[in-house]
Amino acid sequence: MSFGGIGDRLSTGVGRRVGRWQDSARQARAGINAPKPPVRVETGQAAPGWAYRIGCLVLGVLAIIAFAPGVVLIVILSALLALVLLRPAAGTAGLFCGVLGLFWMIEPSPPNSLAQIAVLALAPALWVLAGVIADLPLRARIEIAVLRAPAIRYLVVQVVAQVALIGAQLLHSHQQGIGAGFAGLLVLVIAVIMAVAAWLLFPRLRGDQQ
Amino acid sequence: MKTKWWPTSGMAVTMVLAVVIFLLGMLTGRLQGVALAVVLLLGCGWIQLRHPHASGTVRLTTRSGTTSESRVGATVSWQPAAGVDALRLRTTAPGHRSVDTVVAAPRPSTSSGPSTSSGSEERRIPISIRTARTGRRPIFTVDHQERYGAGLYTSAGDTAGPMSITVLPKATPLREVPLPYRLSGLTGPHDSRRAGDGNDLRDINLFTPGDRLRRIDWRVTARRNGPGPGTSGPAITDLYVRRTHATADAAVMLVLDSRDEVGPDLTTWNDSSSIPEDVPTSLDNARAAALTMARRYLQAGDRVGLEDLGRMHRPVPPSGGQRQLQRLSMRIALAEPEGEPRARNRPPRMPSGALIVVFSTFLDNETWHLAQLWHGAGHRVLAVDVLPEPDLRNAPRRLVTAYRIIAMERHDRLTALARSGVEVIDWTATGDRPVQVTLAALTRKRVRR
Repeated sequence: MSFGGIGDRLSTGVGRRVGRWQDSARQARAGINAPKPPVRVETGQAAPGWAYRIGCLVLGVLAIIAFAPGVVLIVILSALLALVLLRPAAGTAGLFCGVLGLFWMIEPSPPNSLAQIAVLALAPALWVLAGVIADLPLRARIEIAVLRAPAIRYLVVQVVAQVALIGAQLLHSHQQGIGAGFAGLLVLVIAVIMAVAAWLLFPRLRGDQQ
Repeated sequence: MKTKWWPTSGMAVTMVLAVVIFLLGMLTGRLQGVALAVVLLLGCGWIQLRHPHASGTVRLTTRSGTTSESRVGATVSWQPAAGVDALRLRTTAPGHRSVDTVVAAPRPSTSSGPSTSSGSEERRIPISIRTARTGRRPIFTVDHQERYGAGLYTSAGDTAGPMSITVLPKATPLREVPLPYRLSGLTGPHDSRRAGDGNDLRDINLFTPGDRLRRIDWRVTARRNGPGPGTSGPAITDLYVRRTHATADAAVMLVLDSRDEVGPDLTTWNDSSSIPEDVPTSLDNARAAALTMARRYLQAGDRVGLEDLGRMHRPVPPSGGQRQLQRLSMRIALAEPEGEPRARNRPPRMPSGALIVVFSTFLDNETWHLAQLWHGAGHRVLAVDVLPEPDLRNAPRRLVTAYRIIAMERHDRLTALARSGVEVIDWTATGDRPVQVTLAALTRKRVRR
């Protein structure tokens, strides 16, 4: 084989490769200049997936603000919140809530304060919302009505937990001076609410059993 | 339908963390941490105990009619299982970007609508695309998965489709269309030179056996009969009748070349599946042109038939009426390339005296040869060029060079056709000589053979 022949083959091969790159670039340019239209899907009132992620961001930031931790904890919680925004899922949001709960035990909020109510409301709200938009792309259209069932579950559990926490903290502070009757009433209320919660949790036996 | 629902890893992670925080909180007396853990555990418990045990059904059905011009639609019908929160859909269509959608389950109701034993109604989700393409093609594919429990429980998804939809071509109105050299029959919408039962006066002649009595022209009869013997009035000895020209109809054969389907983009000429949806192909132009001509001739009362060169099927014989238009519409819409085109041993037989309209791209010699044969046999032949204007902006240089060679050969074929007497029409022409003007000019042209 002559060196001239090798040179010809090399130049032809390089030329073909350059030609293929030019073809790909041309097709990419054609795709950018004329993007494909989307399929039209008629739904109820909906919002794009990125709007829900912004909602998760807002909930997470508010929860961190309500928690009011130190700089190091802010950095850690912010990193976990970023993970939730990048990969929204019940697992990542559960991790955020778990770490937040752990640090909350180390630096608790003042008892029965607005901060306590806020943290207890916002962190699980983030967990629910992140679960709703789990595995969905940014451009996905999600009906607002999809939030209805998770919102009902969230509100019921929130009512139980908030009242139970306030009652438990009042009961705890009873040992330091509140009247016994008031404390007893509180415990009764907590017990009733817990019973209702148990009734909601366990499957009801109905004629048409689910 | 029973299917399995299972908890996700998110449920496991959440429960583990919640239990750890609960225990730590109880040990250290930190009620706030315990409360947070209780919230997570209550949520997981509710989801676990109330999860669905079956999955719903999703069907994809066509929608009759379209929502607007050039829009093709279908309906996704979802019958959710009890307890399901939402349905995730990924709708795909050729030439369109896939769309992910999540729709909520309809609320259980006691209304008289379609419902399951759990009382939930069916949810109908319309989907549609805008397309310039016609014919029968698989259009919609819907990947679906029911959702429950805010990411804590999941089920297996499924796919509905691809659903084939037949998109009928649109016929544009035409005012004037050319007629064949020779009309046939004794009835029809056109005047002919034969004597018959028509409207135009041919002559007034003596009554002969076979003439209708109501054709007797009494005025001429009275004027031409002289007075009788011994009477003042005329004696009727000869009767005169008005004879008229007969009417006739035209037989038109539409020859559709469905052997190839090419779009304006040269890079898609070897793969018709990559042609975008918003540009019509040569076959779409041919279908629209064929249906337009068929509707125009049938509305005028003529007879129209169809021959599909891409298929070795029996042609649709010429006939008239609304049913023929429906028959032709479906055959034209279903015309498509079928594998490698097979060579014909002899040209398709055409009714005597029929006007033959050939719809083709003339990228090879087959239809050119057939058009010349038919013209040589005495038919009036119209060659309708349906090749769309090519878009050379994004084509590689070698393809542009190849196209120029093909275009020169095609131009030579069309020129040879025009010289031999076949009338060539560019269906995609705009500007000074659109199709309507060209057809009107052909209508007025006196053709001598």
